[in-house]
Amino acid sequence: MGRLKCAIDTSAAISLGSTSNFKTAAKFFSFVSTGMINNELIEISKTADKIGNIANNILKSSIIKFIKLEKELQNNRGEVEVINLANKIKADFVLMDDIQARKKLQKQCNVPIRFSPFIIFTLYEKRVLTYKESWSAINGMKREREWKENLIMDYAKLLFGKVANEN
Amino acid sequence: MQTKQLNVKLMPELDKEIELISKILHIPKVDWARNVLAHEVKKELEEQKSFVALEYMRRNISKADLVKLIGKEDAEDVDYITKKTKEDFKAARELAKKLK
Repeated sequence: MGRLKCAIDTSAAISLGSTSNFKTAAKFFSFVSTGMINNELIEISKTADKIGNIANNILKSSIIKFIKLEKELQNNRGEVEVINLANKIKADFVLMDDIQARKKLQKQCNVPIRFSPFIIFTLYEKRVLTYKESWSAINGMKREREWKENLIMDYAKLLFGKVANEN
Repeated sequence: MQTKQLNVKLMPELDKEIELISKILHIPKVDWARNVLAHEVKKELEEQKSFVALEYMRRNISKADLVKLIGKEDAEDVDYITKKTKEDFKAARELAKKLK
């Protein structure tokens, strides 16, 4: 199995960009996104804070390949555009940390939508990352945002701790 | 919008400090205090909701208590996060076996 195609939105890109494992993940996953997400990251990168810096690093790293969609597939909501891209290129899965968007958009998406700890957990199961590195990566994904989005990371840590104890 | 009144007695020192901030920022003392209160309430509420949700996820409190404390809509989102994260982890384990 070659690199898996992962269509990624802004929230998940920032989550993975908050860890030191984005480049490692790119050895196994080919990250693709849309023009709208590129624009969102450019806007965020203009802010002189931690998140702005993360967005800037993502853009400079070229880890994500941005694809401009045909006009009829473009959308002013980044998450919708990412789903359109995933369907068009037959991505293996979509990565997003937006709970409401995942709920609403799964029906129109032909592939599974996952939260970003999915990548870290895969790398842990593949023995690419140690338990400590994985836990730290998930913990690093927490940031100033809606409490429920941070709850994804808190629950992932809880679940990760349980699963790792089983191994 | 209908408003409610909250009377707070301040120590003179704190009142003086708020007065100073109000002068520097050119906004009425009450407006500044209202903004700060709103910000702090939102922050505290989110922290408390997050704490309660995690207690539920750890199975330390029941679904009924969770709904009572954070409301039905948020409680449903908590269940959604739990279900989907579990699914993601299971899928990650399967995927790791297939990845070269």
